Amino acid sequence: MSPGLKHAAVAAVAAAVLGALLLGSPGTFASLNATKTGSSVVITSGTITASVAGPTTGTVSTGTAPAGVVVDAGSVGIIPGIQAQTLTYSVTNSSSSASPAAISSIRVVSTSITDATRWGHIQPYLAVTVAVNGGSAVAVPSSAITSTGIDATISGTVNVQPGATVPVVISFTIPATSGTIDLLRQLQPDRSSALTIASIIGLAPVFTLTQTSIAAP
Amino acid sequence: MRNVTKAVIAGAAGVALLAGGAGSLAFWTDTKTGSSIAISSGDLSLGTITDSTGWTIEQNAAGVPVPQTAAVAYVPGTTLVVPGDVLTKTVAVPVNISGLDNKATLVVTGATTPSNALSSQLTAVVTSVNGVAGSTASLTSADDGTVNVVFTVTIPWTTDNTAKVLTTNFQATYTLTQVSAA
Repeated sequence: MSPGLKHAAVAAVAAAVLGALLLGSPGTFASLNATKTGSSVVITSGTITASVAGPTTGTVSTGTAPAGVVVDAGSVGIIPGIQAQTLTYSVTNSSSSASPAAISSIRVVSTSITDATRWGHIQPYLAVTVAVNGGSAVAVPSSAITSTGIDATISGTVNVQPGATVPVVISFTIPATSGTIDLLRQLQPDRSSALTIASIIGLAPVFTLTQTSIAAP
Repeated sequence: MRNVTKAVIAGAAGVALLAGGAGSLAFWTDTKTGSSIAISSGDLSLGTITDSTGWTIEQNAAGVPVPQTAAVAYVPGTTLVVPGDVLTKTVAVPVNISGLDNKATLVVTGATTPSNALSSQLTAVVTSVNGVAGSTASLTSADDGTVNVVFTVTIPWTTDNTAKVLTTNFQATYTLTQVSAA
């Protein structure tokens, strides 16, 4: 080996050693640095809580009594062609709610038929409507009123601000006639013998509040 | 023999002269000390960061039917967030960066703790650093002073009911690291 070659070999070995040192020491290059952790910012989510009060029962006139029919003062419940029964629920978007909301759906659903005979008699002629906050009444499809009860979902968009309450009125009506059938006469045997309501079917409606954007009216 | 003896004596004398002559040679000299050159190191540090106040809230996340048009003050711990809300904060980060060749990257990260249905559904991002979109920016001594970092925390409009009435904490980490001036 010539002296020149020897130096080259030594240089190569040195370079190799240096290379190994570089490879083996990532992150060990000293340079300036600084790290700080910021303050913690609390993020707490709100909620929407619906509460329902009622119902209060009432009646609404749907027509005048024909000649020969006398409606006792204080009669409650449904009288075909003359009087509808109403159930008024108060739906509140709790004041602790963090956002305005809309009554997005109302499920009108029965829980039990307490008088199957009477239900069987009135069910084919019964009409059910739902009105939210004084708005127009939306009919429950007749297909949802069956021998086994009532189950229909009415969608809506009535806004309720936090803390606000809106009334939801569910009305039950039987017309005076159906085709050539005089329902007032046909259903007379099903009337309550007293001024109090003869319970026929139980109802447990479900009201759903859905968040709306804060900018909504 | 005589010549050999002479050579030995001369050699011994030479050694004695050499040994005895150290430092004893007199000649003219002069010495000067140069001027002092100050060498001062630059700085790369972060000042006190105030980033927990001054947040705003606005309901304008993607998908909100009628987005809010004006942001209002967000009070951590008091204001409750709901789906669609966007929290925003611009933090003026005090940065000390000096030195001719001082160049550094500022990397900002954010994390939420504890993990829950709220933290998993919200998105917390570093929107920009020093006006550069993203979470990283290169700084030089020209940026000495304050550097704006913008954070956005979005509670998506699609956030579900599992995120109701929960609390999580957002916290950022700021890291300045020198890089080569090239």
